[in-house]
Amino acid sequence: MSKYTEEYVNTLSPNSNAATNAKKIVSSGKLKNFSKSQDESIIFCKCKGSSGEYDCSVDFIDEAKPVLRCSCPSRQFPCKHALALFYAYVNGQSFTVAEIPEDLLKKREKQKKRSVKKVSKETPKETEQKKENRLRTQKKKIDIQLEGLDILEKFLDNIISKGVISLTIEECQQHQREAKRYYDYYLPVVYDEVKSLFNSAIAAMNRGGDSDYQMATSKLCSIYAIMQNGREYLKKRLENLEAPPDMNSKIEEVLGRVWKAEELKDLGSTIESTEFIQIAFVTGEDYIRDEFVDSGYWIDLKSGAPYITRKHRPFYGGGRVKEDDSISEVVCAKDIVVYPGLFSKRVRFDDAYLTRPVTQNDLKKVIDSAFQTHKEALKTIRSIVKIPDPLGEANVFVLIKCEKITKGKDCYVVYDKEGDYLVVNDKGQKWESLDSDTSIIQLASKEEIEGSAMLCRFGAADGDEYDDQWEFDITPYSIITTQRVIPFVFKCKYNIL
Amino acid sequence: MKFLYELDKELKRCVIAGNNSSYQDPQLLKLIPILQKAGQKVPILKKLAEQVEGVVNDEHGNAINLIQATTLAESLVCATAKSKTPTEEKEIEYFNCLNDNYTQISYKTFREHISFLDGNMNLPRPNMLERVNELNKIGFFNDPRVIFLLIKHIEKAGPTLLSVYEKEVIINYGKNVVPLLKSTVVTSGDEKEISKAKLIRGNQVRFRLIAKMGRDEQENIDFIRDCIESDDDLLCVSAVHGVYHLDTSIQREIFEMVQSHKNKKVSQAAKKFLGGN
Repeated sequence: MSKYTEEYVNTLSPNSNAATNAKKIVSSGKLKNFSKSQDESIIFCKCKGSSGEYDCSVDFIDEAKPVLRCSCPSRQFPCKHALALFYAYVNGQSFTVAEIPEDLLKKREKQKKRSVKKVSKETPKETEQKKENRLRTQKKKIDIQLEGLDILEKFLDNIISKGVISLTIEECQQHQREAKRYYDYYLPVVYDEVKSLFNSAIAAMNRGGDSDYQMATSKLCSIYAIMQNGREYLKKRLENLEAPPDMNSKIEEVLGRVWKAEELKDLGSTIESTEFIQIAFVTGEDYIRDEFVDSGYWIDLKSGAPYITRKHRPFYGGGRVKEDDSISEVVCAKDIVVYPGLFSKRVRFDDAYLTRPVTQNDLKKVIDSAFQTHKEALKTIRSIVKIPDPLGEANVFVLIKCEKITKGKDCYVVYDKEGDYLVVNDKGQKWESLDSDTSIIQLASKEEIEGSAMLCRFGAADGDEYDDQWEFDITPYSIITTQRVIPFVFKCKYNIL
Repeated sequence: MKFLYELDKELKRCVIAGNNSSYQDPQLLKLIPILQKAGQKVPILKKLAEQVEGVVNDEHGNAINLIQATTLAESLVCATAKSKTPTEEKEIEYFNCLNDNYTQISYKTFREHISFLDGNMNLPRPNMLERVNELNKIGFFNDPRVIFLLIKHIEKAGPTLLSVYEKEVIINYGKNVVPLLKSTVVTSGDEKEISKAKLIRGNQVRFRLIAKMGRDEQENIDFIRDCIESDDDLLCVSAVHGVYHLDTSIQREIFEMVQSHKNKKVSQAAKKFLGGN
């Protein structure tokens, strides 16, 4: 029996059309000569296509990362023909044992050589040379970044001296255009923040709203915090370039570092093997960065720790980047790369995983991993949610236990076992447009909902007006019962101001 | 901690107005002694008091001092955040209609087809009906998100699809879905940006399904009866459609009762029915 499932094949599909078309190919009988090698490490067949007959194969030499191949001219990878073969395989199609074709053997050999090349050893001299080069580049980069932060300080001084209120729309747009220079100083996050600051300022001018000005002020605080903390961190790095980067904060990312999986592996930031269950998934549209963000929210079934997967795809020209999709099965992954962060750390396991169906026991483990009382949850969240501090998180995803849920005006009220409540609603925050409906819980039964766990996003009310108490905006993303995961969020647009 | 919120607001006001406004600002000056007093117990507040003092005493207005104090004040305020306070709290009505046919379609599939659920509920032509059948096959309509959106926004669908949803999709959910149908019936007070004709059409579907699937229970019959008797034009005109799917004796009883209904359409329907029988 195949150890792969249809759900697993779905995750390999570059988009939903490819999966649908692949299934159509299977049902239309265009695949023929289903063959497998003696050891079942490779399957292959012929597929009738629009420009002739193609050779499709799925190579399981690395079980966790099957290689799909096809001789069709499509630029989509994997193509619908190879996917169709995989679907046929997981759905119980019978295969006859045959010799592996010559060309497939050659391709396997090439693949093997490539991986050997990757691990080929360097001489000590080469390693030393590489290290020297790396340190030199690093120093040069930090110098440029520090220069960029000096410019940022002047910019802050200029804006705050004048006052945000004295700016005109034209001036704001001019500043936004000029902010692109921060890319030259390896400070892309600064560019995003400056762009967002002036979006808030323009919105305030157009709408005359006090809360938009408050938001602009919060952005200024955030930019200041990047400047202050960034400068301190970079200066320390300059003193000792060989010191390992701070793995418990996002400062490196804030300073524009794009982590490579290999770097994180070298730093030992990995999980050897574990099982993850996805408890929410949403594709957001970020209008500051002009990109789609596929975010998956996971619970490690071994440790109960929460994790996030994130894939950024540009709005324009990002068609060839494979889109992530939700996974309703348990993912069994190895060599998982963990990104630096405080809580709900980002992980990456690419396509190197297998899946298995979710059991009731898995769901119970997820519920048990939730914060059992709201007090505990709030204590943790308060130490992490720090709006202007780039080392903190503006939004924290936390699983909270629901002993009882009631309905309030435009909100739901989640009670814990101690009778403490948290008010959750679907409004989202000021800077986003959220399509979500928590009312879906009404479709379940009372018995199913009570005793479940809810994945909520806690965000400090960013720039909102408040009277005598700063309040959390708590947005529910999904509810996990002992029977299923019920998602609430349909769509999300960020930075829409 | 009220002084902290006041301070946060005041500092932000200075940032918006320009840092020249912060020199000897009376509001900030008033808050400094309170901060200093609180700072005797909490070191971070002492630090904040010093920063604010620096801001108000700086004749030349150093912008960085101001933003530094504002950043610290904001982060302290954030750290005190609490949950919002609920109002008009009541028990949730659970429908218990996630039966064994429950599916969880992938996000990509859901998003691809959701446009017809949150838009105009119409699938792109041609092959609209074939697509509904295909979606039905993959269990699309048994995903809780779809069940909910479909019933909640059914009036947005065009006549052809409305009929398909009624006869081939919602009916298969079973009678557990009746409470959901009842709770989504639109009344004149509900704000929906759709024509009245569409709202009536959507309600008619709901009432027909309530009657077909829930006629064994008296409370559903009473619900239809109450809606017909109501003064709400939207309700009574559409609820009449539900009556035709009830037992003949109940139909007769309801129609006799509403013969003199003040809504002409309802009374005419009653007379027509009674005349025909």
